[in-house]
Amino acid sequence: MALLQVQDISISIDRPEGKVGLVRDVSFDIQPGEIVGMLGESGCGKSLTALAILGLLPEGMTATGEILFKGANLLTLDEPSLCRLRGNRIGLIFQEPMTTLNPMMTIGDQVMEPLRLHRGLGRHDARAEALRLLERIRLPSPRQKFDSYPHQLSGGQRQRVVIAMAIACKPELLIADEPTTALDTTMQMQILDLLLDLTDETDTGLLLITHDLGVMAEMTDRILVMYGGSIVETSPTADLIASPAHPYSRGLLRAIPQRAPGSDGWLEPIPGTVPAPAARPQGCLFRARCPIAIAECAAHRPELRDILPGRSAACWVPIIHGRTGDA
Amino acid sequence: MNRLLLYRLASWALTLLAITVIAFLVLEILPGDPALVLLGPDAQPDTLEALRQQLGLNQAAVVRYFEWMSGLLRGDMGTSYTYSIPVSELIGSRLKITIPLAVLSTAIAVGLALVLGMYAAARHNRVGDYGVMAVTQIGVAIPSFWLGMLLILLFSLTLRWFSAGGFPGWEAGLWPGLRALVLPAAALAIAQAAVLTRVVRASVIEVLNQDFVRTARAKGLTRAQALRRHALRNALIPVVTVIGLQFGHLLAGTIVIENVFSLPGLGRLIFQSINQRDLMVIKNVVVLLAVIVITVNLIVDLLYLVIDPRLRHAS
Repeated sequence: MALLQVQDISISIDRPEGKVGLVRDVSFDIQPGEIVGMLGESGCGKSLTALAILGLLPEGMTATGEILFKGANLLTLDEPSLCRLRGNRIGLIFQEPMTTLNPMMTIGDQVMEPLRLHRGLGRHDARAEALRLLERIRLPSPRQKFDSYPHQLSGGQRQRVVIAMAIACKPELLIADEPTTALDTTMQMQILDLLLDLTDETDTGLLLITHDLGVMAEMTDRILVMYGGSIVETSPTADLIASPAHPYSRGLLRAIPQRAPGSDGWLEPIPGTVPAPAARPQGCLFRARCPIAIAECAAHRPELRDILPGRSAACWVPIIHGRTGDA
Repeated sequence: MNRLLLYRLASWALTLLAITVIAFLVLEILPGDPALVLLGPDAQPDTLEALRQQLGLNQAAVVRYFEWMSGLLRGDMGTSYTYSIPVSELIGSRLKITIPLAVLSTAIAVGLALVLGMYAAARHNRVGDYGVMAVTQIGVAIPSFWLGMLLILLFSLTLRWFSAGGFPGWEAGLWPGLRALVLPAAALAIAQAAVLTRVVRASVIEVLNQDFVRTARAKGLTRAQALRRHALRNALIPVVTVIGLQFGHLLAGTIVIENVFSLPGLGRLIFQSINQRDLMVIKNVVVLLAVIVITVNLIVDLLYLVIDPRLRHAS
């Protein structure tokens, strides 16, 4: 059985003028030990999907569909049961290490919190376990840092602490929302290596959310590409890098320095902007920016469908083996 | 030592010095001759002159200021014109009422504000929030002396739970003393609580939107646990600031409320002293009230250091 099965998740926000859809019919699953990447630009619904899995959507937003965690639907679970899952069996790593730690609480207290909450450890045992965790995530001089406050740590050290909190109770599923965006490149690689080690050791499933395709290529087994609140392509990582099926995926690849296949040294930006959630047009959302759009794209919105074994794309004219085929 | 602390202590001393100068100057400018008030309008000019001599009113202002200051440093506040007893003794006995009154009132205000403010913040933009906000709007608008009279009407005259005024003295025991202070403290506390509730609410709402509260929830804390363990301490700084600022208003409020409830406290003393041109009492009470206010605000500054580790380490 899949560790996590997300089925037709839609997220909308209540506005005075009515409900506005933010995420539409997102489906994917994660197996134990699998690393799935979620790729897309800011505002495409990646973080919202992550928050919805934990039942932590901001006030005024609602999710519909099914989120099965080991068979139990998280969307219908009561709040006390969700609290027992969060930080315990599902860990969440946020992107901003500057603001995700409580500035008025010591590092030690914050790392001990999930241990005391979920595993019922006393202060003494929780301290010993928290120190072990801080060593494991390779925080320099953990004993001394234990009683420090977040402002006394560097950005990379803080992010390590955030990871320590998320993995404290050995979760089966780890969701990392842009875990390295705020860090410099060397620190980025260290943190990612750390995440890889952790998932290897414990068979934890990892949902890695990022807009950095380089990180994706290094880390993930499979990639979900999101655009305008929907998944537009899902492919094994190597396949997607070698031959993106959706024109948006291809656009993203071509916009990366060095990695652009067959590029002449110039980056190729994707023209135009993402339509705002309240102003999403009929038909394909990428149509206005798409170099290969056909008439059908304006009339009907393409659904995600299988185009090759293990690969699917939401496109009327997916690029198969580098060539646009009519489907 | 912390630089912030040194700076605060220095500014405390300078403020105090400035206050003594201002208090002295204001009373110099104020019309009214204490000798005339004491002896009545029919007094003989030579008797008046003799009394002025005795009270030291004939000396130059500068001389009188420095005499007052050197007295203060020795703990001698002079003798009251009207009561003919040392001012320090007079003030001491009155403080026994006003300080407990102010502390009790602050406790009521802070207690109410924390409960209502956190409740409103937790129910942000829902019925409970609107209800609390409406009540605080009324609380801010009600004058404390009028509320005091309403409280007397209800709890003293109708329900007969508390006395309508007066003070039995602490010799009568702790409970009878406190009982006499409950209604005036409540009358003073309502307006303070109303303002403070709004501050608590706004501050908690702001903190609840911070990323680390979301982190706390992602760890598995319930909404209430996240509020208590993570949001409250962070929300306290603006709340403590306003409590300090309100303490001055509270002391000013005692002048009115002690008259409504006939409590022989500092507020009533200053009211009577002004009527009787008892300059010796007035200037000393004014300075004392100022000392209390700036000391409370000094304590508030020190509390910042206790609450926020970032300030403790910055120096």
